[in-house]
Amino acid sequence: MILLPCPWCGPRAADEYAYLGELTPRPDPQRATRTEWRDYLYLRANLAGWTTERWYHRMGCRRYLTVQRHTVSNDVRSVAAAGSGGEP
Amino acid sequence: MTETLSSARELSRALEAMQRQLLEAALRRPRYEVLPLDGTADAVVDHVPREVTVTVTASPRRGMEPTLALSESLARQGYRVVPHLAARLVIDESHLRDMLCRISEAGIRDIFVIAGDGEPAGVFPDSLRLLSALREGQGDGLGQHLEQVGVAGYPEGHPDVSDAQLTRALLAKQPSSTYLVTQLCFSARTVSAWVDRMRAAGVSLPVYPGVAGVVDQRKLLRVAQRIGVGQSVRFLRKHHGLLRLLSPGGYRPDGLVRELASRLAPSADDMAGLHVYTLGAVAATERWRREALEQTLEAVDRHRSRRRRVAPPSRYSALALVRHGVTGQAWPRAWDRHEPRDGYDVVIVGGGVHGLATAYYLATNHGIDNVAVLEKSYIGSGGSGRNTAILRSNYLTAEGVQFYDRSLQLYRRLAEELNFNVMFSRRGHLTLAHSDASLRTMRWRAEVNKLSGVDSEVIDADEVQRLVPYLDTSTAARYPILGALYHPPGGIIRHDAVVWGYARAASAFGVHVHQDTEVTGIDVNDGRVRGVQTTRGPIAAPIVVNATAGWSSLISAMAGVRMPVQTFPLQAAVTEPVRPFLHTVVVSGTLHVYMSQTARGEIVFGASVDPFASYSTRGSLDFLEGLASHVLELMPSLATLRVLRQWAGLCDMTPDFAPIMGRTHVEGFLVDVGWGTYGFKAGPVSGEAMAECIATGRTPELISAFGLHRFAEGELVGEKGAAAVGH
Repeated sequence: MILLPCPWCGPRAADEYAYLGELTPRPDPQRATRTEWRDYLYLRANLAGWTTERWYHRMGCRRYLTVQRHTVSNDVRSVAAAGSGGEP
Repeated sequence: MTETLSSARELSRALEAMQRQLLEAALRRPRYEVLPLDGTADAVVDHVPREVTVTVTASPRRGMEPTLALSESLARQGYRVVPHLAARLVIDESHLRDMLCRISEAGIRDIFVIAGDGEPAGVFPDSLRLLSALREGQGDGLGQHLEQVGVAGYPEGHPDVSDAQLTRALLAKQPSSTYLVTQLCFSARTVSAWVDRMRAAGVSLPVYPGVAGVVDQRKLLRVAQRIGVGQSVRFLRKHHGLLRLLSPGGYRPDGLVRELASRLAPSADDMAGLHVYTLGAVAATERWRREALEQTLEAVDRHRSRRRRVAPPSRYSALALVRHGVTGQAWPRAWDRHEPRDGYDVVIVGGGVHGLATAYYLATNHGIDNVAVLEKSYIGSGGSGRNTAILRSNYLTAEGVQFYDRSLQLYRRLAEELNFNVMFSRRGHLTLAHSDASLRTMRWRAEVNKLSGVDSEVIDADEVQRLVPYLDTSTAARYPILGALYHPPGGIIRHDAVVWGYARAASAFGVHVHQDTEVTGIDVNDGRVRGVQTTRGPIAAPIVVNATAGWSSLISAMAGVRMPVQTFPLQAAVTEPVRPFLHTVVVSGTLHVYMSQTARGEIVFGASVDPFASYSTRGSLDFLEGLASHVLELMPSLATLRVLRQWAGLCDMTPDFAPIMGRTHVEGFLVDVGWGTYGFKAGPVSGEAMAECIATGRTPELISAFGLHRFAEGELVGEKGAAAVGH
């Protein structure tokens, strides 16, 4: 298991968080075609390497975070509040 | 010359494969003809699974009503029903319209039209007249819901009508009907000669040969009495062959059905299915069908093992063991090492149980042996060697049950088939219920299982205690055990041996297994696969199969195919060996652990996937602590047992907890991936289905629900309930 440094609560065990998956830009629901929407819902790059993903600190500050993590070594490069930039 | 020979051999191989498929399909989904008598509904519901179509005859003495009532009742029970419409029992067009309305409302889409015996009760003296009325009434929606209309054929002729007349009548009925069922027959030669005559005369309808089920003398006489002696005498006169039934010991159609399949195999339409006249003996006929199906599947395996091997490996046997022991002679390599060829007919990426089984069944079932299996490490180094080797088929949906049941059947006979001891141990599988809600779901699962002929039952806590005395079944437990779903056919197997056995057998049939050969790229040109790039050079291939776990997204991405897959580690652990005390597989969904004792005496534990996606296969202390606390809730007496080691495997999770199998938008690129935490137990059946998919170019029905396109079309599979927990 890994420690994830929360910007508010400090380093915490990963199971305090909810892992919400890799960040993919959401298409505009009003204009997206069905294919675009289903691609957004289901398809994942699932990279073995650095990924940008969303985590939720459910047992802590209950904030949403943008995390850059290496999916092979589980090293964490950066953790920031969601929406503070760095998202694709 | 050689070319002609090899193509003749291929032809005969293809023919044999078709015969076996035909026989298996015919026995898997036959039609049972039943009589509309009191008790028939119960007999059908008690004995006949839903994949059998039930056709209900019409009795001239009792009119159409019993036929309709029984058809409606069976349709409500979930059967595909085909009511017989006897033309002479229909009074007029409005009577016909009423009946078709009822049939439609019952959800029935298939009728069988016959003339019927006796004097016409109304305006339809024969089936042709009724079919014409149906055709003319089509404009006002008469019978518009009908998808299939069957008519009768008479291979042995008809006592009152000449053969020429019969053929003319059939040609006249052809435009308003969609299939033919033959009258009872006892000679495959007669049927196949008749089919040839009909085809020559221009009758192209698919044919369902009609055979008698298992009928004993007393039963036949009792039925004859019940449907009226007059009719049964006429019946016997019409079918003189029926007298054979009266020989002592009754009659079994085994030989006839096999011969029908072998004579009619070249064209699928000549034997579209099997029509079985149960003559009131529904239970006996169903018992016969199960046995015959089982025998067919076994015959398939015997047939396979008879097939010529390229380089017969020395047979493993007790004798060989003694010989090698006494002489000290070294064992030969189990599978050969080769230099990669420039090209293969099929390249399979991933040397696990799925990839190797696919190669094996390609070579044995379909005669395609120019096949390479590429493995970046050693075979079985991925999920195939990291799972907890539990086998079961007690799933929640009928599709899931049938799929895994086939896998279990293949596993059961695998040691014999591969001549490799895979240590399959059928020891029963217990899924514990800790709440009323899970008990309810288990009852549901048990019923779904039973319908598909899979042994599962819900048992209470006392019974659980008897099976596994070390479980804490007291009510003081934090999560008291209320009962369990008991699945006797479940068990464990040695997973490495399965991989080795498949590799050895596939290699003996000419398949190349390349270890330490990593695929670094896939060549795609004009939407077609051309080959792969590997660490040992390029390999050309018109068909590339992605049979990897963990890396399936990355391999697919090389071909430009995006996947709805996320990779999660799944950890497991094993304890020091102790004396055998745990004789079943125990699973708790609530506590999310599963455990079994290996032949060596170690206890193997598994749990849920890690809470975040990763390609890391490092174990964690968190996992071990959580696992230990859950195991001790179930079996406090294990507290002093020491864990020897723990490990992780990579699981490709899909959004609906079902695999992704079959073709992709890149022609020639197939996938068998997304196997989550349940891939090992599906290895043989997946290999068999993928091999069929590759060889025939068609997606077998068994895996049709698992296509990649389901995500684009929003048709996800609903197996999460039984697949996610209790691996």
